[in-house]
Amino acid sequence: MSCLGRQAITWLPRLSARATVLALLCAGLALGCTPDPDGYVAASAEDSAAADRAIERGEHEPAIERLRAIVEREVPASVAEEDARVIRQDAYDRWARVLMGRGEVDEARRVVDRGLALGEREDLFTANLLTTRGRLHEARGRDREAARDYHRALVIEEALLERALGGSDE
Amino acid sequence: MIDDDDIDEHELREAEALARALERGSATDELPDDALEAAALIRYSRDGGALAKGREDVLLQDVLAAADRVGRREARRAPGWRWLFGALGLAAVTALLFLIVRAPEIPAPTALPAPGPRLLEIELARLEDAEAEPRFDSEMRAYRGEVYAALEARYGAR
Repeated sequence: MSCLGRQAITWLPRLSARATVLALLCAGLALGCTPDPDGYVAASAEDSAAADRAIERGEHEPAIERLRAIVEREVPASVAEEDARVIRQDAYDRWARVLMGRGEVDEARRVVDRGLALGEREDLFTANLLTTRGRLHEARGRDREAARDYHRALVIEEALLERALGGSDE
Repeated sequence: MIDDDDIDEHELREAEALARALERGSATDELPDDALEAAALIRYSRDGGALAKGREDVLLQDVLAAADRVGRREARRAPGWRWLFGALGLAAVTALLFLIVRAPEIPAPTALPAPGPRLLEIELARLEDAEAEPRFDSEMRAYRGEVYAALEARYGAR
């Protein structure tokens, strides 16, 4: 057997054995780092309900803390992107409205923009964010921008209402 | 004169090591440094450090024998468990690569409940009248509960 062959017989199993250890480590790491989809939705539901209770009691800071937790929670790959968007846009809207209620218009605007940056769809969550941004424009005296956002929200809501009343599926 | 009985085991080993060093030109661990230096000086003064032809042949045989031993050791086969473990490792790495390279499936969005006409009417009303906000909050909270219920039905609840 050639020298190279003899070397291969010696080193191949050693190399493979080390690859096994590495593969097992990677697999363990991957499993450990993957967020749990059940945990994501359930924890977001819990934070959402707690935020609603805090808003009702007028406790702004605990509410913001819960809403921030929702938008900052890592989304597992097994959760549909659109589902995560709905959860997050809903939280961004409430967060912005709490800030607006405290007079923090600029910060509220940043929060709304982060929510709309997730994507605009023909649903209530996008419409809510557009309405809130319209309010913020109004608060800053930017009536034209406010009217534009209100109009976009109105278009979405009318389409949803028409669908709800059975007028059209589209 | 030193009596043989006065020489202990350790000294005897050192003496033997010194004799070997003088004879072969190589030292073992038993030989202390000062004795090694002395042996080297004696050898050098004898022949200037040159090896005799006979010694060269003997040393060459020693070196070749040692090289042969090393070669046999390298060629020794790996134990079976290492082959098995190695094969498992390669299989695991292949499986991992397959999982990584495979295009991830994009999960479809959940069919969420549509907002009811009542909520939408309040939503439209609040565009014109800020007084509608409290009613909107209440209706929206109920709708939010339905949305989360649908999501938990799909992804699981705590």
